[in-house]
Amino acid sequence: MRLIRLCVVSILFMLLGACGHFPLEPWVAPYEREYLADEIMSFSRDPLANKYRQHVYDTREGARGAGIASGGGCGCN
Amino acid sequence: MVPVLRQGGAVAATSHRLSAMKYLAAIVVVVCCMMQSRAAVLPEDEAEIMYHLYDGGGVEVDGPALLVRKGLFDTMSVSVGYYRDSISGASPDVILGGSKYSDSRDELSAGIEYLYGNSLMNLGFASSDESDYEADTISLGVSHEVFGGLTTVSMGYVSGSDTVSRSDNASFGDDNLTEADIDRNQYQLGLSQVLTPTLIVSVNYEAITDDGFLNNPYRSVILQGGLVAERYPGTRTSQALALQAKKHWLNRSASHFGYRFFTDTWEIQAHTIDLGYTSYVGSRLLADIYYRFYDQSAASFYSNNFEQELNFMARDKELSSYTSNTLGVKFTYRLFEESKYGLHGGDLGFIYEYMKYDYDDYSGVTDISNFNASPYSFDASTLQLYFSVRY
Repeated sequence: MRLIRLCVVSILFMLLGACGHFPLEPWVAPYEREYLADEIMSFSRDPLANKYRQHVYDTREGARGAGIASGGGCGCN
Repeated sequence: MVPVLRQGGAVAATSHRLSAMKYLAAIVVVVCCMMQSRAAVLPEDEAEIMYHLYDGGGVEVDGPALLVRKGLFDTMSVSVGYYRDSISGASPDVILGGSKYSDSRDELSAGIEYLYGNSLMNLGFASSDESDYEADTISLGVSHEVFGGLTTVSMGYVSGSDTVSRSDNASFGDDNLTEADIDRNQYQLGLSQVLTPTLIVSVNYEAITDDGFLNNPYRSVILQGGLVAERYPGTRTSQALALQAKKHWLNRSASHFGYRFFTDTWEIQAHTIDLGYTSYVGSRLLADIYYRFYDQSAASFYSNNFEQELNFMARDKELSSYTSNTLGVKFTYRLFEESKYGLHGGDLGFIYEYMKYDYDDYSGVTDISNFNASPYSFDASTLQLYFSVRY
C-alpha cells in the first residue's frame, strides 16, 4: 500500500511540474519528434488485436488491470 | 493541494467506493487546472475485421471481430465493434464439476471520443452475452497532453454489471440461486512521458473492486475425497501498477519493455514482464517478436485438495500458484499507402502466439480418485488474422 501511495503522490508532483510550477521546459523540440511519431512507438498499435490479446490473458490469469482490456464476460470454459 | 493528496492516499489504502470516487474527482480537479497545452488528436478513421483462434488446455475458442471508426464534425470520432467467441471443450477443473462443452459469447460495443479544447474525452458501452453470463459495461475516460506535448495524463472509470447463471437453469451457491449479480468498478490513472527524441515511458495504475457472486457456478472443490461446490468471498479489490518503455532505434526498429505488479485482497500477487522488438522489413512489411513472462501466487483460499471444510474454498487453477511463458510473432503487410478506391491505406495482419502454463499446486485431474496426480501443465496457441483499411 505504501508503494502505491508513493507512486500516486509522485505522479501528482510530476503533474504539478508539468503545470509549470517547477522551472522545467520541454526538452524535446517539435522538430526532434520524427521517431516518436513513428507508428512502431505507439503503446496501442492495432487496438482490436491488442484487445483480443489482453482478453486471452485476463480469462486465464488471476491478475488484471493496468492494461487495455475493456468489456466484460469470460468467453472461457 | 494537501487535502487532495490526503484523499488520494486514503483511496490507495482502502477499497471503499465512495473514497475512490472522491479520489478520482480530486485528480480531475488537478488535471483541469493544467489546461494549457496543445490539443490531442482524434484517432484515424478505420475499419478492421479479424478472425481469432485459441486452442489449448482442452478448450478451443474462435470467432470473428469487427471494429469500425469514423470521425464526425472534426471534433468527434465514433466507433462500433462486434466480437464473438465460439467455445468448445472445457478445462479440467470445470470438467470435474460436470460442465457443458460448448457455448458462445457475443459482445457489442460502441464508443465516442470527443475533442474539447485541449482534452480528449471518451465514453464507451459494451454488452456481452453468453447463455450463462451477461455483462454490461460503461466506461468514461479523459486524456490530456501537457508540457509541450511531452507528457500525457489520463484517467478513466469503468462500471460493470454482470449476471451469472447456469445454462441448465439449475440452482447454485449456498442460497440456491438461479441468477446472481456482480458489480464491478474500475479506476484508472495513467501518465506517459517523452524522455528523449527516441524514448517514451508510461506508468499506469488501476484499482478494481468486485462485489457479488464471484465464483464459477459449475466448479467444485475436492474436500475429503468428495466434491463440494466452491465458495468464494463476496468481494475482491485488486490493484495493478504497470511501467512501460518504448525505445526507437535508428535502423527503423523499436524495442519495448513492460512490467506490471499486481496484488489483491485474495492475497494473489503477480508479476508480468513484457519484452518486444519491432522492425520494418523492406518498404511494406512490419515484423514484431515478443516474449511475456507471468508468475502469480495462490489465493489464500485455494487448495488442490481440502482436508477440512473452510468458509471459502476454491480449486480454480487461475487462483493457484503458477507461471506462464508466451512467445509471439506478428507480421503486418502494408497493402497500399497511397489513396486508392477512396481509401488511404490498408493492412493485412498475422499474429501467432505460443503459450505454456506450468502449475505448482494444481493436479488437473478430471477423475476425483486421482486428485494427487503430478502438477498440471499445458500449452496453447493463439492465431489472429486481420484486415484493416483507413479512409
